[in-house]
Amino acid sequence: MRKLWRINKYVFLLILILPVKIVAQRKLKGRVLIAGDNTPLFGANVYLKHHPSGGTATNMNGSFVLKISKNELADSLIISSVGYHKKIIALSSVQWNGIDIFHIHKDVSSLNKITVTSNPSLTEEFSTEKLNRISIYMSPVSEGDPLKVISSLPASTNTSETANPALRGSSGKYSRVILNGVPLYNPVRDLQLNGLGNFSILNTEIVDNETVYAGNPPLKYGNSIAGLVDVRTRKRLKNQQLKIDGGLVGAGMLFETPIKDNTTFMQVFGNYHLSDAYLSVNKQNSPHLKKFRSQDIGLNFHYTISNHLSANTYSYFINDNYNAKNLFYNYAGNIHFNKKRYFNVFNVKYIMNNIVVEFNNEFNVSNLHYRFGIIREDTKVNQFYNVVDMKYLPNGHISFTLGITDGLFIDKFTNTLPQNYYSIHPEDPSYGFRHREKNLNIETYGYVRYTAPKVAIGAGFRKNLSIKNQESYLSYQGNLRYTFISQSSVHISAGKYNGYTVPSFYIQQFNHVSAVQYAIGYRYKSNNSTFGISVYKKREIFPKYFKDVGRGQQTTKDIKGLEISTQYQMRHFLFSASYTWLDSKFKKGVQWIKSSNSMNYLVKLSLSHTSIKHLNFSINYITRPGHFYTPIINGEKISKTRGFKPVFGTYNAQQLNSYSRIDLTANKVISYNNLSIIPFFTLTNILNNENQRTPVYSRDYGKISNYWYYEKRLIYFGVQVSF
Amino acid sequence: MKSKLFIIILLLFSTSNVFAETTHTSDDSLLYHVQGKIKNAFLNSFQSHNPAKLETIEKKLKNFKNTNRIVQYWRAYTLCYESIYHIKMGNKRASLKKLKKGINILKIIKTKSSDDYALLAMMQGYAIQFSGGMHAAVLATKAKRNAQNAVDLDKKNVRAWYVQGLNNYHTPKQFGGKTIVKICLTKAISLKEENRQNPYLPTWGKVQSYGLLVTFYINQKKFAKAQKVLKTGLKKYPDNYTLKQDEKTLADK
Repeated sequence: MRKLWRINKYVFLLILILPVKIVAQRKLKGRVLIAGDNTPLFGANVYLKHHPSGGTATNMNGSFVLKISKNELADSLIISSVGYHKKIIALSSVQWNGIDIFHIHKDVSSLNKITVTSNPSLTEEFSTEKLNRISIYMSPVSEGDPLKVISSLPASTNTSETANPALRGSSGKYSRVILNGVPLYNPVRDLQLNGLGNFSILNTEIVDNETVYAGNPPLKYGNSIAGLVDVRTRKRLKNQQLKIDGGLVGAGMLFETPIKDNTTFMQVFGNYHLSDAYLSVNKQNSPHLKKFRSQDIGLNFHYTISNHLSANTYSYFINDNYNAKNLFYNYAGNIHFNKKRYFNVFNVKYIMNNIVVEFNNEFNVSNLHYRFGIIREDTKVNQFYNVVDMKYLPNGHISFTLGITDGLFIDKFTNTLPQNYYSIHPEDPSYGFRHREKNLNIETYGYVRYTAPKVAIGAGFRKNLSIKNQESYLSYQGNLRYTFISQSSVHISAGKYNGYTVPSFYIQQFNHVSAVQYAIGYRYKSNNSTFGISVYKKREIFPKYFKDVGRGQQTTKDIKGLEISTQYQMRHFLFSASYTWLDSKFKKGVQWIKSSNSMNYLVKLSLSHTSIKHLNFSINYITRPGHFYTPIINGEKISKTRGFKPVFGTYNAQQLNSYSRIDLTANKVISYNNLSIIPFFTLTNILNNENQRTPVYSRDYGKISNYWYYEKRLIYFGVQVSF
Repeated sequence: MKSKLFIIILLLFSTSNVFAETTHTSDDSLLYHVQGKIKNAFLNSFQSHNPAKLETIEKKLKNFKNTNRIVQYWRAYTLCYESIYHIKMGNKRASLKKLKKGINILKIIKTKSSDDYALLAMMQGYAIQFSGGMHAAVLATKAKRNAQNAVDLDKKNVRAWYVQGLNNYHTPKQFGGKTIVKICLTKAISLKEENRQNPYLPTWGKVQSYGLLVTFYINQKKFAKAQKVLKTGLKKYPDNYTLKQDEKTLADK
C-alpha cells in the first residue's frame, strides 16, 4: 500500500502539473483550403516563424491542431507547401474560436520553374529524335560526331557519305543546323574525308543536346524547307578536363574548366589535321585525294550572371585546305581548295517567373579560294543573324513563343568561269566577273503549344517583311502528338515553309524556295525495344541546276516516303534495322522526272555492343539502289576550242549499280585512376565494294570509259586520352 | 492493482490529449509516418519471401480518393521498394515492371517538389541496370538532370544531394562519374536533420549518405577517411545495419 502510495504520489503530482501546462498553452485548430476551389490541402507544413523546428502538418481534411505557448502568441503562423505561396499570419490576428480557415494560393511560377529553366523548347514533343551528348558518343555510327550521328536515323536519306544532314529525300541544302537559336550554314569540315568521322565543325564536348526534326521544322527557325537539327550547348560543367586525341589524320585537344560553381565555365579546343599518315595507309583506296591540311580552334564560354540571367558565346575559326581530283562533264583535274572561316554565336537568356527572353546573335565571315580547271572562284561571305525570342509559360498546359529575326547575307564573288559551261579545261575560253549579292530577310514568328498528359498540340506561323522586291510569304504549321497506352504515340504534322537559297557555285543568287509537307508517324517505345513507322508527302519548289543547259531553273519536286524502323536491346547488344522507301520526282518543263535519289529500298542494319568493361564495337550495313543519272549519248565538236558539247539523253534514265557497304568501328575504354585512355579503330567498306558514284566519259563523250567510285576500304585509328 | 491501471490509463489519456499535434483522419492514418511503415513492410516481405505487405500499402495508396502529390510520392516510393524486393528475389521482369510504374507516377506529377525529383532520379538511376547501350545513356542523363533539378529546387534537401551523389557514384568514370560523389555526400551529411514535424514527408537520405560515403572511401582505399565518416555516422545512427557492416569491413583493413 505504501509502495502504491509512493507511485501515486508522483503520478498525482504529475497530473497536477499537467493542467498547469495545458493552461499555459493554447491550441490553434485550423483548416487549410486551396484558394479558388476550397479543396483541403493535405500535408502542408504548419509552424511558427520563430520555432520552425516544431509545428505540425495538415491531414487529409486540411485540418491541423497546433499548440502554442503563451509567450509565443506574438509570433506568426506559417503555412507552406510545395507549389503554393507561403502564407504568413500574425497570431494576434487569428480568431481562436472554433476552427480557423486559411486559404492558400497556388504558386504558378514555382510550378514552372524547372520547366522554364530546363525545357525552353516548345516543339520538342514533335521532334523525331532527341539526343544528348552521351547518346551521341554511344551511337554505333556517330564516331563521336554530333552530325554524323544523324546518318544512322531512319529519316536520314543522305547518300553522299558526308555528315551534312539530308532528311527524308530533301537536299542537304534545305535542312538546317541550328546552334543556340541561330542557323549554322555549311556545318561540315574536311569534306574530302568522306566515309570517316569527325566531319562537323561542332565539338561534341560543347553539345548538351540536339533535337532532330526529320520534317516539318519548327517555325521558330526560318529558312528551312526540309528538316532541322537544333543543337544546344552545355549549361553546366562540373569538372576540369583535358582531352588529347591523336590518330591517322592528326591531333586535337580540348580543355574545359568550371570557373564559378558549375554554371560559369570555359571550353577551348583545337585540331590540326594533315594527310601524310592517312594517305600512306589508305593511298590505294583513296585515289582521288592528294593532300589535305586543316587547323581549327574553338572557344565556348558560358557565364551565369544570376539565377535569372545567363550568357553564352561560341567562337570558331577554321583554315581548311585540300587538293583532290575532281570530275566535271568530261574534265578530270585537281581541285585546290582553301577556306578560312570565323564565326561567333552569342546568346543572352533572361528568365523571370514564367517568361523567358532570349537574344541570339551570329556573325560569320568566310573567304574561299577554289581552283578547278579553268574555274577560279574567290568568294567572301559576311553573314549576320539576330533573334529576339520571348516565351511565356503561364501554366503547365499552354505556352507561347513570339519572336523576330533578321538575317543579312552578303556574298562577294570574283570569279572566272568557262564561256561554255561544259568546257572546263584550263585552255578553254573563259570570262571573269565580279558580283555582289545581298539578301536581308526580316521575319516574325509565333508558336503556341498545348500539352495534356496524353496530347500535345502545336501551331505556328512565320511571316516575312517583304523588302524591296522580295516576295511576301507566310509559313504555317500544325502538330499533334497523341500518346496512348503510355508507350505508343501517333504524331501528325503538316505545314507550309519558305526560305531562301544560299548562293553556291552553280546558282549564285538568293532564290525564294518553299515546301508543303504532310507527315504521320506511329512510335512504340518500351524499355528495350522501339518500333516506328512514318509516311510523308512533300512538294518543294526551288531552283535546280540542270546539267544539259548549264544553269539553274525553278522546279517543283514531289517526294513521297515510308520509313519503318525497329531497335531491340538485349543486355549489352543493340540491334537496329530500318527500311525506307522513297519516291521522288521533279518537273522539267511539263514532264515529271524521277529524282536521282529515288529508291525503292534503303536498308540500314546495325549491331552494336556497348560495355565499359569490355570492348565496344559496332557493325553497320547499308544498302540501296544506285543513283539515277542522265546519260550523255554523244558529243558535238565545238569549233575554235578543244572541247565537245555533251548531248544528253533522257533525263535520269540510267541507273548506277546498287550500293552496299559494311563498316566496323571499335573502341576500348581503359581507366586508371583519373586517366582514361580510349583507343579506337574504324574500318569502312570492309568488303571493298566498288560502289559507283558517277560515270566517266571519253573526251568526245563517245562512250563511258570508267566509273568513279565512292570510298573503298579505309582504315582509321587513333587514341583519345582524358585527364 | 486496479488503481495502478487507472493511473496508467489516465496518464496515457492525458498525454495523448496534451501532446498530440497532428490529428489524422482514418483516410490518412496510413500516411502518418508512412516511410517507416513502408520500410517495415519491406523488411517483413523480405523475411517472409512474400511481398503482400508492400503490395497492400501500394494498393491502399492507389485507392486513395485524394490524388495529392504526397500520396503519389509514397506510392512511387512503395513501388521502388517492391522493385528492390523482386530484384533481390531474382525476378527481374517484376522488378522492372514496378520500377516503371513508379517512374511513370512521378513523371506525371505536375508540381514536382525537390523530393519528387530526387526520388524520380533515384529510380531512373536504378533502372539503368535493366537497360544498356544508348537507352542506358539516355536514362543516365535523365537521372542526372532530375537529380540536378532536385538540388536546384531545394539546396537544403538531404535526399537531393544524396541522390546526386548516388547517381554519380554509379556513373562510369568515362562519362563524368565518381567526380562529385564526395562533394554531394559531404553536403548531404552536413545538412541539418529535417526540422519540420511533418509526419507525411520523407526523412530518408542522411544515414544512406553516411553509408555510401564510407563505401566510396573504402573503394578508393582511403581507409582513414572512411573510418572518420563511419565514426560520425555511428554516433548518430548507432543501430544502423549498413554502418555496422562497414565497421566490420574497416576493422579488417
